Amino acid sequence: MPTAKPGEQMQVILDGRKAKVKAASSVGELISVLGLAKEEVLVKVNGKLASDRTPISKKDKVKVMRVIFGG
Amino acid sequence: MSFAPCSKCGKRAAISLYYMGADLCQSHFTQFFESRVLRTVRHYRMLKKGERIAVALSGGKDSTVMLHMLHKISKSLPIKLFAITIDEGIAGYRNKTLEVAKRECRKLKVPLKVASFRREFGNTLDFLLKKKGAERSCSFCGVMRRYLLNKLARKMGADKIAIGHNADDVAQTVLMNYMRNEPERLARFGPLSGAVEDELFITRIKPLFLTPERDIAAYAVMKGIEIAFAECPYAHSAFRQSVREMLNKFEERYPGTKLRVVRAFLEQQKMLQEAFRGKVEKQGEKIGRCAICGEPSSKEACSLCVLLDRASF
Repeated sequence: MPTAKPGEQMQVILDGRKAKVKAASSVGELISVLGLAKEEVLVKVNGKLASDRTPISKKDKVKVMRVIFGG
Repeated sequence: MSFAPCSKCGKRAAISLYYMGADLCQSHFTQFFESRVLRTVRHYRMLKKGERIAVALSGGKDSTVMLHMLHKISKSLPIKLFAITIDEGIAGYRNKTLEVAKRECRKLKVPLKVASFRREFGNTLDFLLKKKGAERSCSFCGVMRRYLLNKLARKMGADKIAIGHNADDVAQTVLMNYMRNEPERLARFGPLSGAVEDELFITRIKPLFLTPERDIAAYAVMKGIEIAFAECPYAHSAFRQSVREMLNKFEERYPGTKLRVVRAFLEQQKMLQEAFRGKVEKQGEKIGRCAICGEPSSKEACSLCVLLDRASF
């Protein structure tokens, strides 16, 4: 799996809003970069739900959804 | 993009299920999800042929997915479904989920009854919490919702009320009851609720009892069920929220924690029920009626009437 270069950034959509974050090479790494709990999010890569080990790059359209809420 | 493989078939994995150490593709996940709900319904004999089931539908992900699952089941088991949505009066939150409830019921051709705190109790939850304080918002709201659901479902001829409690809710409830030292509440809790039998109480069933919350969200996304992932504005002020955060931290570090809490509770449930049912029988007590509203109550005034200051004693 290719690793992201130091200092490199990528654009993601977090809860419907665009955000620039430190580039990650996999879905799991991205969740850690965002400081989110794996248990509380789902991630779509190029329109499809993706598992943690799914590789990602700057070219991919990545959408992170927080799905665990109270109420 | 290359992909991570499904642990079962090697196709593109759509989700990592930490509690079972597996990645599953969309097809294997939905199969796994649906069969777990079916197993839960069968194991606890939640549904019988010909029954009328009132689906407690908030329009959030849990109850909406439950509605879809019960609708799927109703194609092979003849049961009659109708939904009840309660508008508590939470500005900026409930109106969004109410729209989802109406849309999904239209889509599935399930009749829907919308009731509100304002109509039933004269005030919205927002108003009541301004007066009472938001610290115990979930307890207040819960008492009012349970009362109204039970009353309406009974009036509408329901045999059972289906509640969208998921495994996360269950694990939280179990720990909260231990932390508050309220074992008698746990005796009344379960996939089929009610240690106390009474003709005015409608049995509550929980088909998602063993299904983790994140799986429910994933199923909704995979099935294209459009859900507003909204958060109740009062959730942060609740004790439950602290327990939820704690459990999620444990789950991250020790995957499977929540389901282990649920299973440990199920192992103890019979003992708890026996202990507390036995106590009631020995004392020769029966559930009575609230002197104010006439609904079932173990005290002179039910929790709702006390909460709404209807009781003067």
